Amino acid sequence: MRITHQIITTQAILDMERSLRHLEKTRSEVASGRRLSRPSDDPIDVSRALGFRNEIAGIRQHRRNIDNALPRLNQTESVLDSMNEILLQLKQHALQLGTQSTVNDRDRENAVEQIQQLKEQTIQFANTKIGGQFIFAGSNTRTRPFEEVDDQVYYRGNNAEISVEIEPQSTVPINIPGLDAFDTSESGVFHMMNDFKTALMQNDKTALKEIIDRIDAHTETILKVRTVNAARTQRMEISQDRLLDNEIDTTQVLSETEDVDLARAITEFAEGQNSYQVALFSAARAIQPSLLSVLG
Amino acid sequence: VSELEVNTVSAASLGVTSSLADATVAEIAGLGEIEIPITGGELAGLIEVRDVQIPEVMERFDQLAAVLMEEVNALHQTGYGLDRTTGIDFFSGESVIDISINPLLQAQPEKLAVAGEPDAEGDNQIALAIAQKRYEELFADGRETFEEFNNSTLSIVGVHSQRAQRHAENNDLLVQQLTRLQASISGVSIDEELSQMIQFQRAYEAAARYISTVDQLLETLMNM
Repeated sequence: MRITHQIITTQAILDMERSLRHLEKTRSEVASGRRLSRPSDDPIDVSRALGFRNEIAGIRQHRRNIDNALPRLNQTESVLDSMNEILLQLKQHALQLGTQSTVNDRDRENAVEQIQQLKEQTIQFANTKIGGQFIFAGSNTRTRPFEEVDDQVYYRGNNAEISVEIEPQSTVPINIPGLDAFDTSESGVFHMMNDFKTALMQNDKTALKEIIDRIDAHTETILKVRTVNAARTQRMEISQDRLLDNEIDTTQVLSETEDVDLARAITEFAEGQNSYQVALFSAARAIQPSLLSVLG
Repeated sequence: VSELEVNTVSAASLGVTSSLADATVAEIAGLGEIEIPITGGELAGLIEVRDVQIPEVMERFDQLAAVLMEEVNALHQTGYGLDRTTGIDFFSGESVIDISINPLLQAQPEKLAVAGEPDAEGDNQIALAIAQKRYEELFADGRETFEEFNNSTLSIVGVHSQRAQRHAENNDLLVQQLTRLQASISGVSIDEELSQMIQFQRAYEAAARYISTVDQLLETLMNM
């Protein structure tokens, strides 16, 4: 094939252009830190990267959900712990006043007063709020669940459980419905306290013995719901750790897919600069000489 | 072959009215419809992008929006807001272009129907149900979730674009090669021309010298 000067010039221009294009690509990678800036750069990896981003967003939301739920679970635990204390005190009173023979009227009057105090406290605990929401009201979280009218306690909440999603398609309830911990029926804890007061005022020793059994039963109930709550707390805390690990791992894979290896990119950019310079230089040299410049 | 009369006095606009599916019809104002098959070149490429490839992607986005609206609205309608409102849509709009949050909700956010029952302010059943739709395979005949479907759209666009770029590169190389061949045949090499010019110059000088010599011979003869 004949080589003419036109061919040399055209080819030189094309080669400079190619070199410049490569230079621009490597410059862009170094400046942005990203390998993938458009879907056509690598359709499969872009798709994978998008998948990872979605996953990370999901993980972050789940972590937020757990962060929001744990305070409620912890508060529940705290209240149930306090309830346990109250029941212990009641039992002590019951034992003292039920078994001792040297109990006088004033002792019993004091006891009635104290039981009333413990009852008020129980109602207060049962109406605990966190973040403006009552935690023992089921899903009726804006209405005070336990109301006392003429010494009787009525439940205004419902028995619904509120759940949150802590992992994909995995939900955990975060509340104890009020009646599960604070029964308002005749066999419940409030009636027990009323009956306790009545038994004391009437000095009914038989009734007092029964009260002790009922206190035990209520203590058992509190322990049951406390266990349920503790199990949920533990499950969330375990998930919390696992989610954090997941997020770190996925972020790493995302980076490996999307990001450019900066050291390699800078090296390629330097090479690109070099190549471009060489292309310019060689083009300048090649298109000038011809026989014309040599002949006189 | 259709004959086209060229009117030298006025200019008319050229419009392309139908898609690449059948023979593209160009309409020239004032002269009516004339069939000009557009099967290649930049124009065909532009038409294909406008009439085939972009609509394909837009349709997928429309589908995404339609399913999103349908699923979320259906659940939201069964839920209850703080003021016991029920039966309202979460999304309003017809397609991906005008999808938006129901203005009623934007104005009165207490109507957001998160609860599954009325008068249960802490209930979040509807919200949970809506969240679960993330994992449901509602696309591609029950094989893809929202995210997977969206990813697929991205892949499709990427592959189309990549293929077009490859074709362009390949054709560029072809053009370059053909240009070289053409230049090889018809191009001017300065070296070649100069060499030949010097050759002809010498030949001319030689001829001139010959004539000069013959002229001298004749002059000598004349002077005898």
